[in-house]
Amino acid sequence: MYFEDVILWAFVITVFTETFVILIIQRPKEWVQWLITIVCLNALTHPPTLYLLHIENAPYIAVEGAVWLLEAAGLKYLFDLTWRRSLILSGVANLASILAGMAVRLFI
Amino acid sequence: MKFVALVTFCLLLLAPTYPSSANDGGSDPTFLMRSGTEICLTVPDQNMEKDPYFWVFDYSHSMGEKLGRPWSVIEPNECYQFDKNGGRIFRIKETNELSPGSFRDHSSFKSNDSIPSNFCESTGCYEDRSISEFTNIFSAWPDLGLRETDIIFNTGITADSVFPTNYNLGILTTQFVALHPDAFPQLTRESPFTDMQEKYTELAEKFQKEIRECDDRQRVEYRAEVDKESSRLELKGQLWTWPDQDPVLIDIHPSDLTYRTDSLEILELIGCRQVYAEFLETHQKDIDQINKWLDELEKEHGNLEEEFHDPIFIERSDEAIEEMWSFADGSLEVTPDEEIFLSPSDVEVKEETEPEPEISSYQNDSPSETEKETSTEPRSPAPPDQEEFAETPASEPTKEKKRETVLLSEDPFVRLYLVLPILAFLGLLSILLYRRYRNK
Repeated sequence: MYFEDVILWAFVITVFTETFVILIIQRPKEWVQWLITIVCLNALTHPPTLYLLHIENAPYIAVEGAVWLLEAAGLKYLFDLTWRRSLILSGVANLASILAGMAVRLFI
Repeated sequence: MKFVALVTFCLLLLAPTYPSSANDGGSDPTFLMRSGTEICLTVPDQNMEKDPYFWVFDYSHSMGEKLGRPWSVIEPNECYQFDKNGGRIFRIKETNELSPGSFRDHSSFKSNDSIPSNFCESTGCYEDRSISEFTNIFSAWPDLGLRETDIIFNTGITADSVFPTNYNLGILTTQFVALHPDAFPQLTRESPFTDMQEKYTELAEKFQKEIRECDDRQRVEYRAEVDKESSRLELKGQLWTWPDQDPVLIDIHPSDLTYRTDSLEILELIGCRQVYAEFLETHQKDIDQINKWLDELEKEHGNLEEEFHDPIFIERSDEAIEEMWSFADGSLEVTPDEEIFLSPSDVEVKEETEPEPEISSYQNDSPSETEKETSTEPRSPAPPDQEEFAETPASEPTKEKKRETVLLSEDPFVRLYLVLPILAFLGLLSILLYRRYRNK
């Protein structure tokens, strides 16, 4: 697969999975606002993550850990959640997107 | 808190599934770069080693700097990259003074050094080939000078074989007439011939550009063999590879470097038939105009082929013109000869080679591990004429190449992706302000 396609597919899979997982767990009333926020958080973190992992060959766990914390912080401050809740949401969503990415790779 | 710990634990469990140097994680660990086809030379000739000579590929300055070494000893089945600045191949007789080891130790040379100035002053070096001898493929340009496109545009397609004009206005019209105007009849220096030549060249340039954009071959490998009589390298063909279709082996006439596969078949092969159809549709008026100019010349001089012999004008039959239009509109199926297709089992695929060591690591005379690497997969029976052909692996792009591919990508989605963090930051700021405003 071409590098540019890898990037774009990775972004689409991440946004789709994380949005889906967080909305399912949280079931917010203001779902549109949540949806926009999750897309924005991913748009903020995904390009730097990809750059560090795939171009600079940065350590995987360190980068994924940073993304987890950053997204959790975003959810906490934007929606006034507790740290516990936001870390759970961010962690499960990130884990799901990683697994979804791995599953997709099996079929292409 | 237990749940957070569980999530962290799961993330840690995933760690071993990812290699420390990140790749796309799939079965093929090499990213493919859409920007640019890799062009290289391979000598898949095991007999080369038995020869008293060895060959060294002297890279162009630009390629030498890119690869970090000025030259490489040619080993069977390794692919030696070249760019628009070409490269030179030296045949060297092994002596006590000159051995392959002398060329493998790059430590005392700069990456833009050249072989003649460092080795050939006394004796023993013969310039076997300049890469331009293999790549000087007929192009659509009206001059013979090598341009960037001549080397990159290695398809064998010539404008005259795909433009449905009433006469075949081939390379002699577009190149030789422009270069040697006095050697041709007076009509070639006057209108309407000059107008026609200008229009034809303009069309050829546009067509060339469009084909380059649609051509997504991953690699073009020039295949050369050692000629047993002359002990020189002779071009035998090209191996084209794609990321997602079977490789093909195109035969090339070594004498005039013409391709045995015709241009329409190549258009089908590289998946550019649609682009060709759209091109003809867009430029039908230009083709008509060229035909009109040809009619004018015919009225004045009679049948142009009879009058001026075939170097300039070769009359084209109605069937040949019809064939081009039919191919473009899809009513004519053109199927390339099946013999050129190689199934993945016909070609020997070597394991991914490690990047070549730094210059300083070439300190001994024996080939490096990379150079000694042999096939790891048993080769399935191949047709006799394909016995010698093996696909060499794509090399993992460097960080710089990846960075360049992403930052300079022309793909609008990739460009949007690059500005996403800024847009996202502004979006999040707006959401925050909106929430604060609403809470007041």
